Amino acid sequence: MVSSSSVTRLIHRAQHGDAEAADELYAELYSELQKLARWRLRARSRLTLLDTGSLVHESFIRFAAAPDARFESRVHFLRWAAQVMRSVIVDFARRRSADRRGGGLPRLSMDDVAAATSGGEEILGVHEALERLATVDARLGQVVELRYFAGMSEPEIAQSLGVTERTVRRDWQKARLLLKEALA
Amino acid sequence: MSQLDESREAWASLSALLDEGLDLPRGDRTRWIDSLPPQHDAIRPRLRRLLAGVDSAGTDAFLRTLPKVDFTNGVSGHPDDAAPPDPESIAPYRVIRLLGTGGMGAVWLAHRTDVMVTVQSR
Repeated sequence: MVSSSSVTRLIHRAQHGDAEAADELYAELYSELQKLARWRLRARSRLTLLDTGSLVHESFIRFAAAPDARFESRVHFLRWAAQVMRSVIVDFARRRSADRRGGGLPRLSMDDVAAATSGGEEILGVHEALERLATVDARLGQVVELRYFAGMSEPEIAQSLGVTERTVRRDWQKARLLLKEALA
Repeated sequence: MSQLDESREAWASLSALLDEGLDLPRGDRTRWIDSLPPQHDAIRPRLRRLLAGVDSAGTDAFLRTLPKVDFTNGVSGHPDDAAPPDPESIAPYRVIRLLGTGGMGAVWLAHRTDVMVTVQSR
């Protein structure tokens, strides 16, 4: 794990268009969030928004608690971490659906009952629709990412995007209408 | 009709209309859509559809939470660590909710997905 001050530097550089810093930051956060998610999944077998939200916060605390911590940009961190949390969840869901494609006809064991869940497909569907939504309106995409994938609260999202909570609520409302239409 | 593939300009216009429509009381929206100037004729049906999907009661579960999905295969944890997950479907049945548990197991209300009847499944 890199120290928090180097994560701060990476965020700063990535935000100013440094692609290498963005890749490094992504890789760093990915391995951290995936590890945290695996620990959580070992205990609970499924992730909820409460889990993803607390994982993102936990990852922040872990980076920020490093000895040379000077983490002034928590809100920027959350934005990056939400993006990475989304990848971690989508990758879990992809692996899940790849596992299922190998199986033959469904049997009625408890394992198969669990395997028959359609939640993974919803996650992948939202993920793909969100990619298109982000090209139409980037902020709507970020609001959904922060809320649906990273379990952030409205005040946190507002802070992280530098808009009012009312704007966040309205964006969420519009994004849901568009996604509902796209996923129908 | 377009879904998430409109130009930024088209979206900016639709977004402004949605803002305006969402600011109105639900009952006034239809009249407002009907009274929009002719330049919005093309978008009118979609606007009507989109606004019909508004969940003003806050009861719509769409995207409210991550769906239930079991990721156990994605981790190498001991199986005993995990509680048995709630099924979402059992063979052709889509599980609606848990009705109760007893000595013989759990009883779920389920919806058969290939024929349209609701049955109890255990």
